[in-house]
Amino acid sequence: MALSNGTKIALGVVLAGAVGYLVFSDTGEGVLEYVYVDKVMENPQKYTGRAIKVHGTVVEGSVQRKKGTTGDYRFVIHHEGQKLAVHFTNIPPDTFQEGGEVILTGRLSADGDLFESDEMSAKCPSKYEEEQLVRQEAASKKEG
Amino acid sequence: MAISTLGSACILILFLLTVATGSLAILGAHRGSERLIEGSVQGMHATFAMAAFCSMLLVYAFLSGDYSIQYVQANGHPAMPVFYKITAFWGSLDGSLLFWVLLLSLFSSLAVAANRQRHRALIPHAVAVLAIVLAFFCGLLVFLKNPFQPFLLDYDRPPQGKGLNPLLQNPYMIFHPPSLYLGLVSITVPYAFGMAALVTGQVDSSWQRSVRRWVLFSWLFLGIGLVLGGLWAYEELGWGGYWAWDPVENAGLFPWLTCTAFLHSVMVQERRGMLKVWNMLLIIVTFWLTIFGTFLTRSGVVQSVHAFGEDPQLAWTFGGFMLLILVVSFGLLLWRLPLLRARNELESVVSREFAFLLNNWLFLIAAIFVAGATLYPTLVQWTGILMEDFAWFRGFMGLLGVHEPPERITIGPSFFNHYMVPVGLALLFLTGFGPLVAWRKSSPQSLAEQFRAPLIAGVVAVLVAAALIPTRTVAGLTCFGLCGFTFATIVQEFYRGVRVRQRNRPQSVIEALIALVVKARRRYGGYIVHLGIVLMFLGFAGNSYKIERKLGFRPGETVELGPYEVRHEGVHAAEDWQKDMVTAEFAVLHGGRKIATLRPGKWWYYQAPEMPTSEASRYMSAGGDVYASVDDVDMTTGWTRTNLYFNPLVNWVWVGFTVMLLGGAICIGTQRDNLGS
Repeated sequence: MALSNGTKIALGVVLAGAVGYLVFSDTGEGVLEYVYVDKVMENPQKYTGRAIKVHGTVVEGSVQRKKGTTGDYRFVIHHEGQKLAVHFTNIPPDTFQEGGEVILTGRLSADGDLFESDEMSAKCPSKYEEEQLVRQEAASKKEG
Repeated sequence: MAISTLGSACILILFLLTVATGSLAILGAHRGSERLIEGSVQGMHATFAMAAFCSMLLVYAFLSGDYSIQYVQANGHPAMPVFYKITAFWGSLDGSLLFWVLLLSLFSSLAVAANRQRHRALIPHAVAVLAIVLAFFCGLLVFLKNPFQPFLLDYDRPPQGKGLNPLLQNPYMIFHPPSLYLGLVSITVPYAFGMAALVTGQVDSSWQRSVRRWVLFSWLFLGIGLVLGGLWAYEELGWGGYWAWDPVENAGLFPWLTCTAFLHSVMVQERRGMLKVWNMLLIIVTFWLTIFGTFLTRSGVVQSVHAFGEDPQLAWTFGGFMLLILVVSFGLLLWRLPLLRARNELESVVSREFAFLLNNWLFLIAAIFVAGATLYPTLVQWTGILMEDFAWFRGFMGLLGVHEPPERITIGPSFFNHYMVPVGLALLFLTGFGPLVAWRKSSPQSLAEQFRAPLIAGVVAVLVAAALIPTRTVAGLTCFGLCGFTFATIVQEFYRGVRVRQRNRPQSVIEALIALVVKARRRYGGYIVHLGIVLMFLGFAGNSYKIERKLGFRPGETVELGPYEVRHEGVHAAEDWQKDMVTAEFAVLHGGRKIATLRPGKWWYYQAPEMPTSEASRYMSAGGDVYASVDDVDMTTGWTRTNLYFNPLVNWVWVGFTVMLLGGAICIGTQRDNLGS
């Protein structure tokens, strides 16, 4: 004897209900738009008022960290000639450094010239680092 | 001869061997020639021997510091400890592909040797499938990613190796990738036997018997790999967590999910002759997901902290291979569909078959969901690129209602958690529910008898958790309740088993318990796995009560962290031959009494001074961890900026996993009831 149609329908309804509830209760905060700096700066107004992720490279010499506060950094990121100032209020990952690529999560200020962020993932700029290491080793050899 | 020349030649021979083995197997099966089949079997063993030789050459190159080879130069360094020089073999893309080939040829060789007499008819077809998969990976080595590639010009050649990333020089990292690989690679064997069963039409349960232990083996090692990865992230990365739905971690998770589904559904086929198509489907999907996972992590199509970098050529090659697997596998499955008809039908929703079926749906849905969500951002990105570049594609998407190229998106942990937490809880419920209901259908009386104690235990667990923990979350309380429920079902099963044994002959409880597990290893091993799962979920439940504080404080100051207090006791600096170290000292107080000292630090390696590493420190207890990592220290005042975490019950994740491992090991040693069932 197989399952009756009534049972099958009931099962289907329960399943659809569960999935429906999950989708309906999804606030969408897990899914964020992901843009490069130049794309943001083309039309900043388009991106204000909600959380987004911005990808760029930290401008050399731009990082200022405020001593004696609980995580307060200001720096500039750039991509394809466009720049964006960042105010970062958290503890950055170990891989954060000038000249490195970062992906920041946060909000663009209403006038579109400052990005307030408290979440960062940073890539180590492997190419650059490798070159530097080789150069350092060569230099230390010369000195030795 | 230079190692690079010898190595490259050997890789080429290895590739030709796999092609020859595959051809012999196919020809032998076609003509029914024992001699050709025997040749293909020997070819498989030779392939393994050759792969082992290539691997030894590469390890030798690392040990002897042959930096004329690009791969060795990029991953080796003279000052690296010998152990890391050996593990550098699979530290990066090219070598890891060779490692993959080594493992696959080893497993193929073993599987063929073990099943040669028992499943003679399947052998040539299984060998052919294994050889084709091997040939694909060897082809990658020959044509795209030769690990023995030398620097062609002398002046291109840097003086010495660059060395392994310091973050990866960690004991967990020695075992995490190889155990994931072991799990991913070994799935190929069951897949090959499944395909052989389809080709020969011998689709009874015999192919499954020869592969069930392989699947169990893959499942165990995937699990070990996932947990070691979590431990590494927890101890090394300093963000106080162990799982963040990173694409590369996900790549190990989704085949683990479908493996788990398979291990359950084969029981339904053995007992009731149902779900034959489904089992075949699961093994195909699992194998496909392992290749897909490898593709995700090796081709760099998905952004991740540890993907190996973008490589479009590799991506296309993998894409083609994945498509081929799908077309061939499902083609065979459709062709043999009439042979796979079920002997029985589902009779009731309150039956063990149905519990297994639900469990399977949930595992498969979870696997597809995680795989889909991992790839989705990449799909959106490709859609955007294609719409910008091709008018016809823009037109096509326009028909679907998409007129503007979509913005790129990312999918974060909160998205995964939103969907996966309920699925996980439902699975936890089934872990308790399944073993309590009978095959075919359960009578109301037996249900009442089976469920009384576990239900009470579940309610008690919720009440206790609500009383003990000041903050309450729905997911957390549900999880505690289900843990209590499932735990009670397992205890009940053991209790009944022991009672039955004791009734038959006079025995102590311990004796009876051991005899019980030894006599029915698969069943009670399975319960021990379930016990491990319950303990792990206890740890997951604790996670929803996690406390995180970011703050700066001075020596002498005290801050509150959940049930504990943390007092700053000063900072000090030190140095050794490798690095400068700044270490803070925090006392952990409970009820005013000092119970532990944490020493989180920040290390600056001379090799990379611009990139300090955080050394997290934790106080472990059964109730949870107090975990600290340091960001910034002012040496004059001792002011320290730190991340403090209280992770309740987190250690139960590792304890539970160890229990699960034990249960898995008990199950895997079941040669006898393998054949008996």
